[in-house]
Amino acid sequence: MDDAIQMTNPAIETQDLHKKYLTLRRKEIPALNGVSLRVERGTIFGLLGPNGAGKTTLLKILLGLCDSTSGTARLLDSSPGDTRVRRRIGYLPEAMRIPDYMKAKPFLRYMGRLNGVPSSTLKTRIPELLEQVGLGGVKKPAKAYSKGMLQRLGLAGALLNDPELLILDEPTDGLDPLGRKQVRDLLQGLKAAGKTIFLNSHMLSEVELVCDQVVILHQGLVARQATPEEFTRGTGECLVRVAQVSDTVRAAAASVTGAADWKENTLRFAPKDRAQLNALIDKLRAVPVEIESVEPVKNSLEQFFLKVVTGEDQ
Amino acid sequence: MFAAYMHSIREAVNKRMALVLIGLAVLFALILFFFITIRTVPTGESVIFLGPHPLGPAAIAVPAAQSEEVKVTGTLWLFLAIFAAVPLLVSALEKGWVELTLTKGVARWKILLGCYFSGLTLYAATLCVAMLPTAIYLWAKTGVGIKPLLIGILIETFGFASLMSLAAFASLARTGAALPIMIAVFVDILAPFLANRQQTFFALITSDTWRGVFNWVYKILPKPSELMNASTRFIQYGSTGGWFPFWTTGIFVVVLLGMTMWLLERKSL
Repeated sequence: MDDAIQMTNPAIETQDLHKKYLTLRRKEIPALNGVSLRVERGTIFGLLGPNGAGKTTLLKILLGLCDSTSGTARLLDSSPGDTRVRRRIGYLPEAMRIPDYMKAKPFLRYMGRLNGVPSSTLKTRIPELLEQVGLGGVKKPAKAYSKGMLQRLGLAGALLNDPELLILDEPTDGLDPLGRKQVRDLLQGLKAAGKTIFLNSHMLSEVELVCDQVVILHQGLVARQATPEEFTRGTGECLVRVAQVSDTVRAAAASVTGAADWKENTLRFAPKDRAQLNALIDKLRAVPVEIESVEPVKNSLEQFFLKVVTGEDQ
Repeated sequence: MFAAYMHSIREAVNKRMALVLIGLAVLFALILFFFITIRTVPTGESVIFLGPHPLGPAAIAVPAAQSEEVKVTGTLWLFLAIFAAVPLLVSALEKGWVELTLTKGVARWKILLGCYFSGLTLYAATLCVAMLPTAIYLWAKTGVGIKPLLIGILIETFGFASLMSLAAFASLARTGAALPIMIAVFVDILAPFLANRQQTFFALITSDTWRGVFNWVYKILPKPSELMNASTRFIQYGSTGGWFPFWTTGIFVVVLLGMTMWLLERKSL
């Protein structure tokens, strides 16, 4: 296929993906109930969902660790089981186990060799990556690593083959705030370099900060797909904070807003238009009372997520 | 596959399994060195002594001693090696590790086969460490060559390979090392009884149907005990005494390994 066409094709595309697990008594347990999603190249894509939503199953299918019952999945214009395409993918699993005795360099060398990275490249790339993830100079074996250090090593392993597509399962799990910031910066850098990142995380604030697109998976289905801005856009309400509240202030506000929702010295209301908001500010200034701030009320991704999974947004 | 093979060898060394086996092999070699001596008798002939006991002229005694060594390694050693090598297969399929290795750009079967061959290498290497130093010493002193012993070691390793293929198949269950070890040990214990089924099972079973079943079980299953006998016979007399255990075990290994690799490629992990 022509390179230009390949670059316009999505990095990941699934259509009506179903997965049912069979118990020993041949009972079917559905994990995915028709997941269709599209991850554009050069973007950071966030996968969210409560426990049991089917996130791990979806990742396993994408990585060729298990087959779907029906539907299709394509990664970088190929099927997930294709070993050639897997050489262009980096993956950081959530629960990885590195043999206790293994040190960082031999581990990365083995991962690199399994991905067909030439030894000459590994010689230069391994020290670079270890520096990048903050493990340069660490000589101890994996059994002496903290959770955060293991996570950093796993991240280095995922980046070893300079992948076009990076699939990260809880990459900031176990990292301190500084480590999380480093990972965020790293992801932004990779995106700037044209890489596609598929991020599965429970850290909603992280997802909100870095992702271009977010999918919420619930009960094996895509419940919502949007940008973080769409998820967190304003509710239409405002918070007006004044220096002091008195009956006069309350009365002045009520004359514009009607029944007013005061919490201490903060008024929460939904202006019909900008004119009504300005009228409120004028009334309050006329009391007189000092206005400390006026800010729109926004949904956090967490609030939106909770609404979706509890069905409150229906 | 070579990367997985080398990783598995390193794992065996780092987990001390290989070191314990090699340590025992060195001890075995030292004991042999200590007890086996060569003396020239008044007739001018070189005679091999095991401690104070003469074993006979070198041309007869060296192969006889070596075939006895192979008997020891073919029984006790094989058991030890199963305990040391099977965990290499199991750890290759451990949860948390497969997510790292089997998502890479290499076929799953190549990784498992790499681990399988590392187990065989471990076994063959420890046999060599245990027996070759004495054999080379005797070769230098008496002129009795080491080629039959090397072929004997290869035959022994082939017997071990058949048990490892069973362990590889059982390791697909991913329930830990106990099941694959138990199956390999069970078949190794069962093999000599099946080989002598006329004297063992048939003394208890009179039904032709059941005797037929046992005959088929014997034909299908690997024959490590007969391979060990073939190995000792080859060292002593230069002949294996029949090819039946070889080709039936060969078919078993190829079919079972093929099936294991096929299932692994299709297995949901």
